[in-house]
Amino acid sequence: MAKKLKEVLADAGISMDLQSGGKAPEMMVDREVKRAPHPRVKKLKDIYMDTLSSANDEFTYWYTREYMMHDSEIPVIRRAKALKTAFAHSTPAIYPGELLVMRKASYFRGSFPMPWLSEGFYMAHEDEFYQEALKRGSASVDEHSKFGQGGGNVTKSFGKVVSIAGKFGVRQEEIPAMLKLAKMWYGKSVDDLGNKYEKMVPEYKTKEQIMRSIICMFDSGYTLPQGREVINYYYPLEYGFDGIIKMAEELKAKVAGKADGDGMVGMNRLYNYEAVIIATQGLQKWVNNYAKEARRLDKITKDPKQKEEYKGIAERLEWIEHNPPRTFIEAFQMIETIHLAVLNEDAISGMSPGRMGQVLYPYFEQDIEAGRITEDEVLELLELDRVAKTSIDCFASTGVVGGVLSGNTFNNLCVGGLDKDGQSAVNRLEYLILEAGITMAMPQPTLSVLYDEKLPEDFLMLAMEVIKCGTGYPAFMNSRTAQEFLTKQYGVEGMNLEDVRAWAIGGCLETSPGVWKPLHLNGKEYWIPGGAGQPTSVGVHFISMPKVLELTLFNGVDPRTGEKVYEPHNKKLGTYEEVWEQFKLYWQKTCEVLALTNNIQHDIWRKNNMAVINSYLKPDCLDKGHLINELGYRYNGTFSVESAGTITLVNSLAALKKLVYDDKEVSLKTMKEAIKDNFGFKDAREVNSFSLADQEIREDAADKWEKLHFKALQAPKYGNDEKYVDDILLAWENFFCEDATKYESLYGFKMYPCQISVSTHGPMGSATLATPDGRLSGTTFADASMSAFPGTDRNGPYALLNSAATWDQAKSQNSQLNIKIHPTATRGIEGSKKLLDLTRAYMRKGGFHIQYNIVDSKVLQDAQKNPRNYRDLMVRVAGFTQYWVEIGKAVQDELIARTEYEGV
Amino acid sequence: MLTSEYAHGEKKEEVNWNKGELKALIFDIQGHSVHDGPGTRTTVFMNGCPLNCIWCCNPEGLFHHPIMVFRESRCVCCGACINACRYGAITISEDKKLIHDRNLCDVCKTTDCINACLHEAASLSGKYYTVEELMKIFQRDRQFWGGKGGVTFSGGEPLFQRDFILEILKRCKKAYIHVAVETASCFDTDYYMEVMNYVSWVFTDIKHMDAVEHKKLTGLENKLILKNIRTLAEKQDWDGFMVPRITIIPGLNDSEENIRATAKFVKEIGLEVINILPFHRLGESKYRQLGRTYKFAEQKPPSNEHMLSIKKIIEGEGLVCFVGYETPF
Repeated sequence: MAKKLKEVLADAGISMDLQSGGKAPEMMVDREVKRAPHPRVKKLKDIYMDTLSSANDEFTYWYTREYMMHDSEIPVIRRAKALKTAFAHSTPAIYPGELLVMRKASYFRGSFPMPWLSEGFYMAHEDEFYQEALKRGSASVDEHSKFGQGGGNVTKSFGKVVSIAGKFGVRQEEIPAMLKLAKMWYGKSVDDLGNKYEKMVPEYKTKEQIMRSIICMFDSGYTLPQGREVINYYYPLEYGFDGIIKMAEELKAKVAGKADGDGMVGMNRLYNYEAVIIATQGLQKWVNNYAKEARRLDKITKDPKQKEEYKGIAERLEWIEHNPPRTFIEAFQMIETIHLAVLNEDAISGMSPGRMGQVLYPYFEQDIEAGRITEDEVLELLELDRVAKTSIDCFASTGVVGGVLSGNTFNNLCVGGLDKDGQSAVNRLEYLILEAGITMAMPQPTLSVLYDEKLPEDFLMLAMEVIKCGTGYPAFMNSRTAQEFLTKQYGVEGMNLEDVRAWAIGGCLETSPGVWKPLHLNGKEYWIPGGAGQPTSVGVHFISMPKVLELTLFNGVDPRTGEKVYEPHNKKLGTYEEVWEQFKLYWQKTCEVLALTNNIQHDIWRKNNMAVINSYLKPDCLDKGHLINELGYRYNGTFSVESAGTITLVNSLAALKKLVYDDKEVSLKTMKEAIKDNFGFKDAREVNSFSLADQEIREDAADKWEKLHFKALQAPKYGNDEKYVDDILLAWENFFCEDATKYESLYGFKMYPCQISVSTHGPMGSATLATPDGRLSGTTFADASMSAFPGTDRNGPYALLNSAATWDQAKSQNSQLNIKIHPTATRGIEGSKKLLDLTRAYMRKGGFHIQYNIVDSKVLQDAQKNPRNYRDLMVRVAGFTQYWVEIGKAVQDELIARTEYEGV
Repeated sequence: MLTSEYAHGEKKEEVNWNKGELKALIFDIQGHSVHDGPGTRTTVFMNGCPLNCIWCCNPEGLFHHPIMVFRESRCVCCGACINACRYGAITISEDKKLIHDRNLCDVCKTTDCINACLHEAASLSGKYYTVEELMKIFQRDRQFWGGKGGVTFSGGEPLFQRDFILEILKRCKKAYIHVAVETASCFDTDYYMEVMNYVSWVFTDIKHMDAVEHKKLTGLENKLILKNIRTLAEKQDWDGFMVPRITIIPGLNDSEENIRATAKFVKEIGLEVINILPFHRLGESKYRQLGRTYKFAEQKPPSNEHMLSIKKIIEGEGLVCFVGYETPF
């Protein structure tokens, strides 16, 4: 008998009662409709949309003034005092309608420079310090990074507003003070001091050349020395600020004058605890100033509802200034305060709240049970948090903010994962977090699902529904793959199975170690996860793999600048193996030199600019009496070697192997000529598009290289489940993952591979000539590390995912695969299920990360032409979410070109 | 999607005229198909069809050999193909556009123009696959199907290449692969029933209930089709699932009379569902690329309201009706 419909629907998990068309469960139908945020949230969002990134120098001034006053102090005390004074003098800014308050600086999108890290880059172009910085080479990357036009970036000066670093607006009258403050740090900043000592590395000259040729993007020690880590909110939640001070006082008394067997740094514990007390007092004053501001606003406000809200804000702040929070909203305010405090302590991108839903769950559970709050009120707070997090700006040079981050600050919020006992950690609050991602579609906090087979099906389906809203999040990260990596990397520091499960994503997609801590609330104990590791994505930053290959082919000389970077190898490169071996040698030389120089920069940072606040929050600093600089964190082996342009390298090697060595279609000499001549095409900058598809042929070149270029484009490409090229990827991964562990960080631990390009594939591509795979000069590399080069994955998503799973991704801290899917392939409940099937299959094959961008390329093209009409449009690029209009043009071009998988 | 993406990048090879080993001509293979049966599937589009429906949206599927498709958007008018063509079939018009004499193309058994094109404007649609090659793709793809997915054979008409389809179906059965077909059911009944032994899910077209109209629209009468559908539906030991599909083409087969007749027939043979699909003209670009004109280029798809009114008629006959591709499967 033919099957009955009832059986078929039952197979698909649908009850026959739903009748034709498969009416969806109500919960789902709801979500298919785009819902609006709560009215107050909408108002605050509108303010955000109309606000420009603004910087001032209030914090800078007070910090510098206090710091300079204590030039004979012990560095950690000096730093704590400077921080205390700066926090205590920060002007509060509260906006009507806010429930969770406090901001980085006194603007809605405020931030400030930290010249103690690097003073050169925000100086006026004609300033002599800037010229000095230029000569050092590291500034040249700024010229290759362009911010997106539009959005909230102040790309050009106007009226009395001066544009700084291509993003921030500063009042004209503040400029002289800002420059004066900067000058006070000349020769003293981490950048300057680090440079002084890194020059003592015998091969420093090579490092300089590497930076100038943009083989590497950015020094590590003074650009964004912290971040890409998971914050830990535990101590303030459990003890409150007064409790922390009390604890530090007691511990201080215990260790004063004692080395306790540690003749090197044992005595430092006294000063460290003192610094904890000083810095915490600064935070209390800061909170108190906000409370006073709320009281002031209450007095001058007439609207009774708004008055009540100001009163509530003041009461909550006055409470958490001293005590541990008691309710959900107090706890939420506390973590907002802590988050901003940490971001103001240092130049930080990627300070992730981590598994916030699990941290706040105790308060949520008890408040809901007691009827103190409703789910709708919680949703509103979560929406407000999205406005607050999106308004966070990070002040750094254009090169860093535009080229790497696209203005994004990566406050990555994770949901899912396993709890301490190995069960699904998903809770009801995390459903609401996903929901707020739909109702309040703003880029931050970006969302990540820590995928595990144990997560509930309806939760995963809800995550799919969020993806389908076109927000670009959540990304899926594989909990099992991460746990294998963590075991491998942190086993030596004693990481056990429980701690392995406490991980979360720090920054855009860095696997970061965590711990469990017991939180007590009304007599009930909850184990909450939090960060316990040093920053990641520090160490050797983004090395342009295609550029290293270019220098391999050109005997150590950068053909773009004509300068010698590496010692010439003088080899004939007569076989593919010889090219591969030489490439590895140059790669190793690059890592070696950069590891040494960056270690020195970080060492200066840890001596003069160590974290105090972020540091004591993390286990086990308070227990040990040592901060980050003295290995106070539980996990310290977090430094990495970062690659960029993986797939462009792999495709280039495949093309070389095929055309030059296996098929002998062309000689290496001719291939090099073609590369130098850009296969007869114009320069990408001339065409003003960084997408390969838009490049134009030069008239004078006629058809000189046409055939070769065609063959290069036709050579085997990654992403097609083709062994020829996948084997090259495998060889690279096996080499890289092993090689990275040969370099040692300043903390004495092995480095590991990190494979995210963030946005560096744009600017790095812009400094790289044509590549043997047919990519033209100046155009972007393939993004991420596992995405195919735009348009070259011709065998569909299954083949791409199969190619990506060629290697053991647990060997690396991460890998990254972005895939654009047309909405037609995901429609309806069935579409969601099928997208989940695809995701699950990749995870089962050991894939670490997958992220979907469900948009129409026509929409994107129109958005590029008419950015003003698309201020709301969000895209996910290379591991994060951002407003389309804020993204640099090169990355926009690449997104448009990326292959779409159409389901119809 | 117009040319076989799997065939891409192999332009150098001479066209293989399917001799020796058992091979099938296939014009596309799509992973992550979400509208062609339960779960997520790999859909294989096979060449050849006994019918000749005037609105066909996959005209390249009607060919029994690989065929050159021309994408004008990629053409830079370099003239390389003109020089390469040994039949002189390609000329340039005054407004700098290539003109292909498709009558000459049809006798050509080479890929000269395709080999000469450096801009991928001329490419080949249709590639021969052996059973082994196809099975290798399925074995790879099955990891991504999830619990309910499988392979869907579509076309063209998947039953047209008889020896091959029987062989690949047997192999799929052995490999525990769930198989669906999208067929017009226009074959001799013995063969049709033999194939269905290996198939768990059938989408079958019912283009028109009236034999004369059917012949006008498709070139053949519908007697055999209806017989096959009935035989399969009534077969006691077949435990598959059959979904009759009607593509609604305004003015041609959407009369209440025809819809009601179809529904009555479906009900009578003991089936419960009809899936109605709105006509679309996406195939127009394919006709252009094949150097043909599409008579339905101006035909608008039926409105939602119209689709819903047809749904009502079908439901009135006591059947379940799914509209469009978004079924709950």
